Amino acid sequence: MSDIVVPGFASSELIAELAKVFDGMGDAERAKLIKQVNGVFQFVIKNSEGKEETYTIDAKKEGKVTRGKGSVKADAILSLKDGDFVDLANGKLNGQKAYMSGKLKVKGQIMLAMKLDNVFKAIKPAAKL
Amino acid sequence: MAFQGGDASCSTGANPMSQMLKQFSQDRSLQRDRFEGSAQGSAGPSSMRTARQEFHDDGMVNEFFEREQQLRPQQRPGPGRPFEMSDLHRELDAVRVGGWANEFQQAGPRLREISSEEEAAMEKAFQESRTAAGPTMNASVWRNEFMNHPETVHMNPQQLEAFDQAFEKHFDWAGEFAMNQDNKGKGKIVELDGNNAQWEDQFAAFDAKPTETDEEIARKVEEAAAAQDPKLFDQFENVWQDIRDQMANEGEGPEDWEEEFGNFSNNPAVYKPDLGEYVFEVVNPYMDHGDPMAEGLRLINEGGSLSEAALAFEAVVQRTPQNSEAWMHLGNAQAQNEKEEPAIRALEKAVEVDPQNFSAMMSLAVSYTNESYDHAAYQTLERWMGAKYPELVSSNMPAPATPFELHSRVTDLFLTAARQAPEGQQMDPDVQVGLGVLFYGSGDLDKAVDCFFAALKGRPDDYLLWNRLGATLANSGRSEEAIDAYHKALELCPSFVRARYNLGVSCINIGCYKEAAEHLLTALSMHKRGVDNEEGVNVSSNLWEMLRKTFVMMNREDLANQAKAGFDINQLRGEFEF
Repeated sequence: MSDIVVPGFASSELIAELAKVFDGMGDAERAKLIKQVNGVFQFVIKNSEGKEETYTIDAKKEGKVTRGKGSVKADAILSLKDGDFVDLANGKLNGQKAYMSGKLKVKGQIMLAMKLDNVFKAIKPAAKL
Repeated sequence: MAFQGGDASCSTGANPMSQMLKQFSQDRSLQRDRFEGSAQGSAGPSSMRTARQEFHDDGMVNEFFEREQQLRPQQRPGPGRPFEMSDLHRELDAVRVGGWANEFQQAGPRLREISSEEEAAMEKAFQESRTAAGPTMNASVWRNEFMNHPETVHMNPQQLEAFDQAFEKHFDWAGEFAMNQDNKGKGKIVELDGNNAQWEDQFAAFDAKPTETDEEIARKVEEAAAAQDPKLFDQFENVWQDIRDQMANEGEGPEDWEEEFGNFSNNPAVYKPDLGEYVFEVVNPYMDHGDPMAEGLRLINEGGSLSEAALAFEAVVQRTPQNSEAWMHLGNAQAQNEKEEPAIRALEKAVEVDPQNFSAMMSLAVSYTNESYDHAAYQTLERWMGAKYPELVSSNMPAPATPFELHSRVTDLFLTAARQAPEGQQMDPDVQVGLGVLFYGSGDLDKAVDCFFAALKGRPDDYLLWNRLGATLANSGRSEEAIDAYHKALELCPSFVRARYNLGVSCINIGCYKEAAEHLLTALSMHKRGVDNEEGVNVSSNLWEMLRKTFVMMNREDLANQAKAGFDINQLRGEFEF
């Protein structure tokens, strides 16, 4: 987990938080998330200095977060800037808006981009309509 | 409404809905132009194919422009319509194509024969078209939209490229013409020659022998286009390149796309949850009841136990499975009782039995949204529209390519319905709820808040609406206002478990963990029914998980480990008040 945080990447801290949440999940909770999302996301994040970091969020097999490409093949590769990832994770930007405005580029299953909000909700509990 | 103060959107005192509508009328116009125009264009990939073949023919240029005129029957007056080229079309129609280029050269400055007024109007139109063509988003969105059209997958890359160059032509025209406009006043013939040469090349390419391949034509056009306006072209190229890359990376290439989008349009259910059949409680005292339906409704109306009401309705549907209303009441009771999955199963059944039960559809759309089945939610809202406002829905809509497009389409429908009756008694609060759900789904939480406020004007005692407002406020970070809304909901219906759950969530978000635990425990205690404290088959996993999270935040691992279904919460009565 400590290897997730990378200096110069604000997103890495959020991803580390996500990893913590995933690890702390109860079995039922993890199973539910996997059922709802059923996808492996690979995030390619570019920071303001032009450097890139890759993270894999597996919400399909094991329900965990790793740095780098991960052992499971990604269903969708998402590319975005460091700042945009932070907004996405905080709920300031949602998957749909990010994609439509071009801030988020998706290779692979585009539809999975809609499930991103599910993943991030795990960090912050959501109220029910 | 005590908490209305801080909310800027309500502060004018005007009808918040009309305010919200104003936001919309501005927002959408440019996009609409784009989408309408482009929808026309993309609606006919077959017509594009024909166009491609006719590039080999003499009448090619005319055909293309004539088709453009046909595809755009709505000719709005004035410069509002960027591609309003009817004057120019008329000019060109008069020119026979065979040696189009030669004719043009000989006939000299035909374009100059247009009156200066028309010229000015056209120039303005083209300037606008240049600005409109500017924003990458619109073009790339259109690109994506077209690429996602189910028919596209049947085109091979060459055809796609041909389409590409046809698409280019629109903007080429704008570029070409603007350049000509700029050059007026100078030695006309000379200038025209200069431009003419490029045009000649372009159209000579099309005049070429039929043996020339599409790719060669496309390449020539691309080169000519690139020369004229490289920046615009680059934008398209980038988007296009992304798409090509994607196709290349897909391994099996176009077939993967086809499968994915084929799945999507042939089997829209792929994005609906497959929760299976409703699971009934085994122990149900209402099975022998004389009139469980009346009893269930009484419990709901008097704010009695939701768990009991659910049992009563379960008895009804087990006896009469074709009773859509009973299924709907069951679904609503379960949702309010914070048991979303049983709610979805019951509501789906209600709609299955009666496809016109629009009340059930609205509840179902909300439940889908809560569980993040956004696409299913939008589909259900569209069905709601078709059931309640059939006059607004046209019967032969093509299957939408992406959930994003579906969202736009359904939002437009709801906005139209909302505009029909903006003020007073005729306003349909359900239209507002639908809009609220749509904005919530796309992340426009402020607009969603406005919608729920508007709905509440029509139904101030609707505790469900107060909860929805609260949840939207909470999810946009306005926890204090959310808490006020939840208290209002609970005042109206103290047994409203979901509102209590939400209250717990908001308390967690502001760091009041003990209070959160107390709210959640209160909610859980309402699930206990009968004498034996059994929770039954359908358990609220949400409530238990949130309670567990709360204990973790309180650093009470001992309690966190125990917080799951089956645990006797009475043990905690000493430490927590509930």
